[in-house]
Amino acid sequence: MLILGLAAAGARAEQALQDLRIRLEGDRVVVSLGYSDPRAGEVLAALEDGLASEIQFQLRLVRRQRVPFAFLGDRLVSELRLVRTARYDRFQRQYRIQSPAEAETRHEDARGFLEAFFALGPLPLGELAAGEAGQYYVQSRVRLSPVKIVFPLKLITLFYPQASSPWLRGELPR
Amino acid sequence: MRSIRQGTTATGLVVLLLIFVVLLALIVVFFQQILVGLAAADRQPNQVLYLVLVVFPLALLGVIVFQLVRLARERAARRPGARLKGRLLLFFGFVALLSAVPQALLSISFISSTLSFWLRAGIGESLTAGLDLSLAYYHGLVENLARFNSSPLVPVILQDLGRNPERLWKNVQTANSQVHFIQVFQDDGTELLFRGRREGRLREAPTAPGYLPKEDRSDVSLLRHAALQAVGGRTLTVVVGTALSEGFDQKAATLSSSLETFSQLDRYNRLFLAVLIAFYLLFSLPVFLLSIMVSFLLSDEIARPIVNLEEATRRVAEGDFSTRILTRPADEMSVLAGSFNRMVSELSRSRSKLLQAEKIAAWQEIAQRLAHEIKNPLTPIKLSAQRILRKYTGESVEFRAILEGSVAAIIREVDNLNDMLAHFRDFARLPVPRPEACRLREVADEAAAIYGNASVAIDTSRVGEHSMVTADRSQLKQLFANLFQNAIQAMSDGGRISVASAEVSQEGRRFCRVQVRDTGSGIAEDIRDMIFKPYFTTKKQGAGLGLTIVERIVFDHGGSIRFETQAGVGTTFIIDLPLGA
Repeated sequence: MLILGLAAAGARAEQALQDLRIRLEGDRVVVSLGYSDPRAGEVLAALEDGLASEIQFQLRLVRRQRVPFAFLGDRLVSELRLVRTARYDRFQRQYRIQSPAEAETRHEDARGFLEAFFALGPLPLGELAAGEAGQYYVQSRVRLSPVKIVFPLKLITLFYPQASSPWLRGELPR
Repeated sequence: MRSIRQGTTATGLVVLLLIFVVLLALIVVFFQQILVGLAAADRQPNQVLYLVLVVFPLALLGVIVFQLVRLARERAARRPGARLKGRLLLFFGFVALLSAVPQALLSISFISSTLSFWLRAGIGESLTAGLDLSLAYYHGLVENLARFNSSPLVPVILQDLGRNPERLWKNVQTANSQVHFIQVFQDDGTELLFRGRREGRLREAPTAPGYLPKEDRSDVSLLRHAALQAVGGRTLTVVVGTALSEGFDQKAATLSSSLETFSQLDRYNRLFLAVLIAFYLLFSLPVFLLSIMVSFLLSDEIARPIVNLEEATRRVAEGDFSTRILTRPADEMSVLAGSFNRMVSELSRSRSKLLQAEKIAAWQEIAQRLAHEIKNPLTPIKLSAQRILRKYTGESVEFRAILEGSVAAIIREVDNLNDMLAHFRDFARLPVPRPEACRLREVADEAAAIYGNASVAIDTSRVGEHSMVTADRSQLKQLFANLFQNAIQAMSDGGRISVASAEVSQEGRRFCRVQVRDTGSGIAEDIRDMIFKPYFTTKKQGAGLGLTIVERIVFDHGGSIRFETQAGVGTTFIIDLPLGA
């Protein structure tokens, strides 16, 4: 049962879509990420039940390794990890999105909330060496937990980890 | 001498202790990483820990399976102690289960009942009811503000806006006691009036009528409602508000959080229970497996002495009397091992004696029969030869000379044969010893007096003057005599014989050790195994019975004899004669 549940969560995570957009502002890499997940309904249902949902974005700026050293693997230049927690405020009848790195936002309607919850950026990810845009690429990954497990139930995640979407790779514009 | 050593489980116990310490460290680290880490840092624990926690019990299980397979093979091969080890293992495993199963059942039952207690219907309903009450109170306040602010009473009250603001505020409080403050702006945003709790005052006019977002301050939360009112031809923005009771927000947040936890517990009840049980097993299983490994060690420790005893017994049964069991002095098995070793020593000695006695008896019988068979024809041969010589009356001088020579040779050889047969008889008729207390030095001196001569000196000064042995005096004297004679014959160019004695203890028994040392040529290596055999001699004269008789006397007295020899240096015979207890 547990394994089936885990496999199903993983499968749904793989069905999710990421829309990774990258642009260069001078030598700065600016990234925005749109995300759509078939579990959006689960998120709303969980919030209506008084539970919290969590989404974690992970963005990486990676530099390709030169040919003689390709066996060492590509080099991570910078990484951005952002976690958002969503709740439904039953007193004010608003969806609230909180994050340690962002200001809290409130949304009256579910659609607006989902758009805000699943969208990231644009955010600066890192800086490039001048004229070497072709040597870099960006990776993104999203982990959605329709129900953010609280302590002490967090123990469940030891045996029932939340599946992340596969890494999406995006090339920098030339 | 072959020995079977009692092994030790100290190394095994140290290894197990180390594993136990590692397990404890893992538990502490894992606890920190998972329980504290998850709660505080909101992060996933180190994946390596998962691996270790899975691999560790698996490794222990692998070792146990390996030990079980080995034990099964030993049982199949009927190896000594295998069945006993198996039974002991079952016993210890059963004891471990006896303590582990109730503990596990108790823990799982406790976890289950605790969860059931927290998830019982009343608590969930209470939390929901509490939150609903809070919501009803909150929304009641909000709706009350809107209702009041939209009522036709407000424009009437606002008539006093320019004339008497204090009366206006008094009328508001009279009309609705839940309005804690009122603020009025004119259409250009200028504030015309504020009355009530100071924290409710807005710096700017609201942009649109309706509910304003709740304002949370450290000590109070403020609810506001804005409405447009036409008063005296002007459109005014009227804001009425209320301050939530102190701690309302915090209590509502606590209630929401509790309800969230409860909802999750309710939703993941079975999974959480399974995880808790798995979590419990994750730590208790390695401990149980360790106890099984300790069972293996203890089984080995208990079975080993018995296995060794069985092995030693088997070797002795196969004729290896040199087998001994070595034990630690403080070991309980040392008494049993000591008794076994003494028994094997006695058995070995008795067996040697028996073999020697049988050998000597066989040779005695041969000697007796030989003496009898040869002696009978010797007398008629000798008499016939003498008679032929006496009756011859011929005149041939030459023949007479030949006859006399031949007869003399026959008589001489017959006499030699008679002498030899006398030795045979003596050997065959060696009497049963009649032990008495003898002064060893006296007996040695008597024998030395017979054999001492100018070329060979016999020194008995190192024999204790008061050394006493219980032995047949005449046989003891013969023993010394034969050894002296043997030594003298080995020292054709003269030399020295020295006799010494000392008291020794061996395997709990006391012996008088007599050493007879000569300075002769030594015994050649190729004949060392044969010198005690009857009729073996390297001399032209002699029956080859001297050392055989010595060995016989020593064995008849319950002693032992051996020798050390070195070519060109000499030979030492070492005789151990038992002393009384």
